[in-house]
Amino acid sequence: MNGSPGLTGMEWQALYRRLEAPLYNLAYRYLWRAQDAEDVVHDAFLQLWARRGQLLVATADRYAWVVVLNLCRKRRRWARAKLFLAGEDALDALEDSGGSPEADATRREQESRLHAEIDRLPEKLRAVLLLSEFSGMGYEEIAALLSIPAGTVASRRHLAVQRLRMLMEDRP
Amino acid sequence: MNQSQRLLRDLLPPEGGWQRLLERRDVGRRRAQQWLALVAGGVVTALLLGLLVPQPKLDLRWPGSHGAGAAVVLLDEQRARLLPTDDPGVRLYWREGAAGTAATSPRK
Repeated sequence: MNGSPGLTGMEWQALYRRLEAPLYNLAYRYLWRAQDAEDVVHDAFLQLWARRGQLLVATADRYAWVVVLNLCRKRRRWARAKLFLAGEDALDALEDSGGSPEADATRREQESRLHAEIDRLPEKLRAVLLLSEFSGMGYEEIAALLSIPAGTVASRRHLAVQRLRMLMEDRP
Repeated sequence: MNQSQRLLRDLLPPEGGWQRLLERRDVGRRRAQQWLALVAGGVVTALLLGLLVPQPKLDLRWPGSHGAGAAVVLLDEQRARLLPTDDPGVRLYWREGAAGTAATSPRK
């Protein structure tokens, strides 16, 4: 790592290898479609590639998370508008795991409920919850990423988890 | 975040993501090059057209003025009649139909 701007092809690739899975997981929990989640991660990495000359290796991680988060929010707004217009059921987009039919059915049921409950969370709680779940960052780092105090990150996560558990338990 | 505190399980991204990312990057690069070539080609064509195609000369002289070879020639059996004007630099003609051959303008 060095302090001068510029990301080499190797560093870009290493970053992708390291962040592909966690970014994909975050994007998937926003968009609930594997293709959309991968597209968002790729869009973010193409942006990183286009700006590689100005990026610092030390802050490229953070940049990738911010870009993916923003792209997810944008796509989500579009998806919601499309759902509103077309009446499509996005829950049908959940994929099979390749397991037994019973296990798949249970998993789909759980995922569907989780999907619905995560979707029901306010955006500020959802962002903190998903970042804390998948980014591997601590509260301080998430706070810096979202430009909010670390205490707020902690309280939002607590609230999100509480609401999610409550909503899941309330459902039959 | 501590693993035991986590609510959501990790999913594996689809296989071959890196290859697809590289393909997208290269397609974007090729498209940019194609557009650049198209724009450059357009500019070169416009410049060549400007240089090679002869520009029509506009002759703003009125027929019958004092310029070289100026004469009023009217076809279709018409005649031009010089009208009187106060300004010697201005010539007015009245075009009228007449039987016979094409008329030639009177000259000073």
